[in-house]
Amino acid sequence: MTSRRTLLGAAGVAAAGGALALSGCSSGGGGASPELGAMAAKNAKDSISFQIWDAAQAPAMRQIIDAFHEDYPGIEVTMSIAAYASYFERLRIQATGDDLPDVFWINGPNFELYASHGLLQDLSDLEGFDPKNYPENLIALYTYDAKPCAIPKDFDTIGLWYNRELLHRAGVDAPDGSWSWQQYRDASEQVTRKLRSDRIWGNPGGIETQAYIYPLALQAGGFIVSEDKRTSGYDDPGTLEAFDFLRGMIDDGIAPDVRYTTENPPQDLFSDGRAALMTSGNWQAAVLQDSVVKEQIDAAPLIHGKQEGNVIHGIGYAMSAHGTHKPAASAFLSFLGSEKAARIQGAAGAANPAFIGTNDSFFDALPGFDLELFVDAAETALPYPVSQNTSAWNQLEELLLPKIVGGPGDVAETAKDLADRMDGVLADES
Amino acid sequence: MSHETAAAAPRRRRRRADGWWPLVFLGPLLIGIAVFYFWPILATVINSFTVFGPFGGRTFNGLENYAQLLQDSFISRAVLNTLIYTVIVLCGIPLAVCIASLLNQKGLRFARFYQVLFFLPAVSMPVAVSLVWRMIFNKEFGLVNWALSLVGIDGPYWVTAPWWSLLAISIVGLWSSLPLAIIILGAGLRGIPAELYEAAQLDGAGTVRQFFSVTVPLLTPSIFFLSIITAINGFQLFDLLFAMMGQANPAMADTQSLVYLFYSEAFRQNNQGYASVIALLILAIIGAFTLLQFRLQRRWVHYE
Repeated sequence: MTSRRTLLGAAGVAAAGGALALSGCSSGGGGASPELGAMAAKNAKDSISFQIWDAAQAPAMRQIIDAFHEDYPGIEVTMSIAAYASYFERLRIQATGDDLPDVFWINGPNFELYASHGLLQDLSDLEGFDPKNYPENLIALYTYDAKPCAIPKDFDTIGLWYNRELLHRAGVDAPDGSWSWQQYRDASEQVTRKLRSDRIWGNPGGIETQAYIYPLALQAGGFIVSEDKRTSGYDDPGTLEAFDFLRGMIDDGIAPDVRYTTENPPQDLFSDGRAALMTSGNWQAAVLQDSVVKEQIDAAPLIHGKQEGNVIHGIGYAMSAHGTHKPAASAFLSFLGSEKAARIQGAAGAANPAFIGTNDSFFDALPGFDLELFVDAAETALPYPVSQNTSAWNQLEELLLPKIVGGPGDVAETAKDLADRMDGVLADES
Repeated sequence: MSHETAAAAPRRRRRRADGWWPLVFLGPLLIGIAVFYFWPILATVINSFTVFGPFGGRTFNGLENYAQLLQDSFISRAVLNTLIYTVIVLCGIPLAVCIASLLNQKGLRFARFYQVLFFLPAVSMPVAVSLVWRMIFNKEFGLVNWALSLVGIDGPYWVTAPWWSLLAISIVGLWSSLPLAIIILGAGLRGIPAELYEAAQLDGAGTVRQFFSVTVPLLTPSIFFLSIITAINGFQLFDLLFAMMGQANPAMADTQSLVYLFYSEAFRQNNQGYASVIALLILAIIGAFTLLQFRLQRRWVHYE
């Protein structure tokens, strides 16, 4: 009898919880007004919370907060940093408890989940925010239901980083931006064979999704998630071609296998001077600036397949739709999206700002590298593949991509397993 | 003691005398147990019939989660992995019996020092321990493969190849379960009366014979307790696996434990409903295994 009453009670709780499900970015709820409302005046007094995940970018964010403070001396901004690995677990708990920070970082894989549940403020009416100031594909990434719900903070595209000296030692010409897959493979092979005794690889292998697998799959005519977000592209012939290309280099001993790169991450191999080529983003510039190979490296445009397939992604600044400090949060968010804040960010070398026309601030901060090509790539780059619950299938990728690329097992068979599981996750999305 | 004829009255009176006092004393504990143990278990059962929204809210979906469990190929592999791990870690108990009796030898010099040494794994942080072992098991620079190379063996990828990874984790699990076992067995050993050894000596039993005929039988209650605790800990394998395997490990799909699957479903994929089913499966397996052990103990555990 007791258990029955408890069950009924629980059902009541469940029903009450179900009512929490909302739809559409900024449709409000939770007591606070869904409207953005007026922005705080310069003499307003308030305090707001701001949450980010990258400690390396914290100094730049602090400089931005200080600059904001000059304009709004009465508004305190408290910044908290949560490590990326647990950032979105934490954000989800905060959202469930209706306790999101006033302003916070969001990324492509997680944007739609929050926007579709009405947790992100619609920024259409935000004073000082003009979508035209940012690359179109980034604005598209952060638009839900035709409403912009986050401001692009920075962007990254993929290029081909290379180590001049290692290539020279192996008798390979530096990449000129026109390389095909075959040329990339041949160059890698030559370096690996010539410099094997020094434990140096042509390319460092690995299974980086954004920097390696996504671009190659797209270049081969494959896809990651279909446009209607209903089907996985992991069993598409194009995607399989990319997998075969990667597995082929491992099987032929040209690139290190996945068991090896799990213990020796590609990025470490490259920055230690143990790999000559690496496809990666402009975020590497700040990291490689402090590496031992700093003087020997540069970047070139990405290798080319059947079609263009660069991938663009960038972090976004978002505001809680349920916040109770919206005027102050609007003022801060508007400043974060301004040219001034973008230049502070660029000059700190933190990331390439998304605000159009501020790239030079980032280039000047990291003078050793040709970073312009990443900006050029942004024009034709495809949006980062996402769906409503991206992080659910990202985890499946983490589990099965190593097996697809590195074995054991058949490439197509494991890829089919990944595609089926991902289809299951996509089917659960509403 | 209590015969019906003896006294209905005194018994009733005694009951009244106890009154609510037992409840007052037990209450705080019972409330704690109810809130932190019984309610979560009940909630897990309820959740297992539901599907969760990403930000709270549940909807009833009947037995769908259970149906999914039967089809999931990860589950059968995780059950197998967890069992293998548990069995290997259980092998640490005989080892602990030997070490404990060596440490408890009369007149052993530096006995305290050895005890501290053997207890060290228990006071080290599991994650730190895992990271150190990960280095020890490194394919290229690890201590283990270096030692193997001395005898001409090309060591495997311990942490990133299927099966080897499970073996490596089991070895570390066994190693870190030793300290507690040695402490408990040490206490058990000190409880064995010295007369028994004297009597055995008089009967002409050597050290080995004494070990198997006196020490081991009288230690069986401690060994039984340990095997229950170790098995339960074994079925809950998570942190070691998580820290030693790291991110994007090609062997992960073949090395996942049940609790790891539970974690990834509940917190990474936000499938709390399905995760509840996995939690109940873990509960059922631990329950069945413990029951089996209690059944079997009658055959080999000697209580004085």
